[in-house]
Amino acid sequence: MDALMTGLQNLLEPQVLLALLIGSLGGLVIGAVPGIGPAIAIAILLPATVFLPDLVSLVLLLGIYGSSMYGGAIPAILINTPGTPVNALTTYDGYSMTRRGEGPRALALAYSASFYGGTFSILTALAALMLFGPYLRDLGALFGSRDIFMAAVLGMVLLILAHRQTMLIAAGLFGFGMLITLVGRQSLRGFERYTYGVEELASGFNLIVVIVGIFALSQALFLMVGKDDPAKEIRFKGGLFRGLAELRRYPAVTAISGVYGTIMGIIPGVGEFVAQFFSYATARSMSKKPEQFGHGSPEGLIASETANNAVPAAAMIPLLALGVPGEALTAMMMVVFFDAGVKPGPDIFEKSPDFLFSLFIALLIINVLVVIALLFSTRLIARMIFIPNRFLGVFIMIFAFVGVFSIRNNFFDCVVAALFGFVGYILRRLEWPLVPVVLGMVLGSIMVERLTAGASRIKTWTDLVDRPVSGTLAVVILVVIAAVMVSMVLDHRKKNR
Amino acid sequence: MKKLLTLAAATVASLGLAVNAQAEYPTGPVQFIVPWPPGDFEDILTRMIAANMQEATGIPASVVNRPGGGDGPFPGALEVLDAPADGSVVGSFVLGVPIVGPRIGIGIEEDSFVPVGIFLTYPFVLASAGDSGYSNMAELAAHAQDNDVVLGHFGAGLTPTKATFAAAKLMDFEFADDSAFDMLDCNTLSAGDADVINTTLALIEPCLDTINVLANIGENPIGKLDGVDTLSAQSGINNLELWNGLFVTKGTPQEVIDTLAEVGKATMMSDEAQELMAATGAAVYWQGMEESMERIAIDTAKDLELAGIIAGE
Repeated sequence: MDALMTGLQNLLEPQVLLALLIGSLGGLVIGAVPGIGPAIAIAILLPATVFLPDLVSLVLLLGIYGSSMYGGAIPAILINTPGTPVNALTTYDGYSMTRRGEGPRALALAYSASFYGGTFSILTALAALMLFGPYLRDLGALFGSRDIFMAAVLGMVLLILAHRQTMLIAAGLFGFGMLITLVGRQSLRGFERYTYGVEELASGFNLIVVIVGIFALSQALFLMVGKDDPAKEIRFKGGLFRGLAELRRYPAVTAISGVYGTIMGIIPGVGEFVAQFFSYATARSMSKKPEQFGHGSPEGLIASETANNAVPAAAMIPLLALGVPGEALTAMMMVVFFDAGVKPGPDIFEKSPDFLFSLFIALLIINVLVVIALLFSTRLIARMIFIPNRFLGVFIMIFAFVGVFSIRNNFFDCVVAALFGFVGYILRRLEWPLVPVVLGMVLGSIMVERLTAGASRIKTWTDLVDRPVSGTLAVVILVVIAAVMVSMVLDHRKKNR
Repeated sequence: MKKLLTLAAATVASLGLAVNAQAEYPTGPVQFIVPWPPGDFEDILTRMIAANMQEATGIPASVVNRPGGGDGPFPGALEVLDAPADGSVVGSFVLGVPIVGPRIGIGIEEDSFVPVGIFLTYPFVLASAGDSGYSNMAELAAHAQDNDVVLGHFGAGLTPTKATFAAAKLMDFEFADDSAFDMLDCNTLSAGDADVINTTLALIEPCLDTINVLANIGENPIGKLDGVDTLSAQSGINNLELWNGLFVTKGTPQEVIDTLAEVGKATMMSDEAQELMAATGAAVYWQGMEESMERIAIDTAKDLELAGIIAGE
């Protein structure tokens, strides 16, 4: 209890509170601007944290980390462009709702689902660290290269199965995304893959550049070439908290997505994507209106946003207890932990309990601050769709190019983004999904990296699945595929009758 | 047609905005490229340099991590090589970049990079799981005669990997297999991805009490590792040390190098950096351009010697 009080007291310092506020609201804005993203923002801020007190640095970066996914849902819902890669799935149902004039409802639902996912996982993660901290060392041993490879394969399978009507197309586009990650020079192995002598391609395609091109620029082109849609109207119904009220109508989807997000967030690197698609697929199988998924289903939106916001707090478990960062974002957080003199390890709860309480209480406060800010600004934010399409298109295009150029001050990146903008535009015109391309890049690079690292242990195919986690995941993959095939056959029979 | 013209005009305007940003160089932001994931010593120290640089010049300075995905520091090094020679992009490189880079045919020449200064010697170690059954190189050599031992490293061909293979050769044993990792930490051992890893002390700090450190790569034993001898003393290979320094591309003006060196030196002499040294076993110092060039020449010879041992010469 002393540690809890000390942790709380530490947060009540004026400069810490200010950092909380700046981090939370800053993260919201950063998440809402496609192309910047929390990783870039944290990377830019990291040098500045050297001059700030430890807790101030930490809550500033935590604010950005914890609130960016809230912000990322805004452009995903309103302009069909995810602010961060993990909001990509939100475009399916969120943007469809906006097209129906239900933008404010979609935003309110997204904030509420995110808030639930965030707070649920914070409380669960804190309890898990308090109760099971000393045993977590054994948990780390369960997640080797082969296990994380298999988790990425599960992510791929769930993604493809989530596109029930266009599975082959989704699989093909996922493959295209994987292919993109293979481009580049393999220095130590002495060969180049798919660079065709173009020097600029030696360092491969930057994920953020491709995302900005394929989502933001293609949307900009789409808006600029298309007609202005005068029929837009926004229906504002209910008070500020109607999103939370509506969330209560879908308790099963909300609860399950929160649990998936928290459990899968523990898997380093692939958590949010696997959790999202698992939640989405489960929500659809439980829904009375599965046909609405991908066309403006509130349940689909809830599944996506609850699961992805449950991940940041859950990702703190392997980071704090095992010293295992899943990706760049959590790795940068670890730098701040080191600077603060906190050594991640299974005994962290015994050694630095007040730090842990400060961290998780800060995450809770961030969630509260963000949701309050968003609830009060929904009406204003939703009016973004009243901006004429062509202005919006030009605005997105300028922002996207400036964002892409600022990543590494490289003009070639702008050219690459423009090319992917045209690819995205063609996909949109064909009404093919964009998300599989991005997930092909994210999960594809994890698969290649982990398979390469684990290659020494893989002599036959069975070596891939002879570990507890990888074996279980392989069984889950087979069960999920079988379940979807059975349901497709049943659907087919029902239609024929 | 009107639509297409509007579209073209908007695209040109947007691109123009981006080009204008480029025209501000070299007064624009300075990027320090660290070709590894964040969190290790070179990352922490380079971030301190970037922060001091920003404070000293008033120009934004940031660190960008470019892990090589099994290709070690080279993808990041090539990014620096492609950058303009005006100090806007600075590399924070391990010795492998100037020493191994020119010999693997990827476009890095002997004189592609100019050292601004060397500032860090890693506490680099070979470690195995606590229940591996061996706790020094002789025991590992005996174990490897009858058992498969898999090595995890940061990249085949990199100096610490070579030192490990050369030691194995001299001690008459072989690794059954090896894999390159971006990150070699406690989890690599506990999850069984590798039996022996060569990595820096910072990355295995959380589990130091439950693993075996077999040897450290360097000239002297590391103070905080009780009873652990150097790989050189245990195997007979040379005493090559693993270091990190700041580099710019050939043709970068001397004033830029001098400014970077001034900030780098002041950073390494700061209390903060020296405290890091005391707490972690890393050696933090500053060697200027001339000294660094001499060191690179000496270490190139040592690296070639290791390659010769591996080749059986």
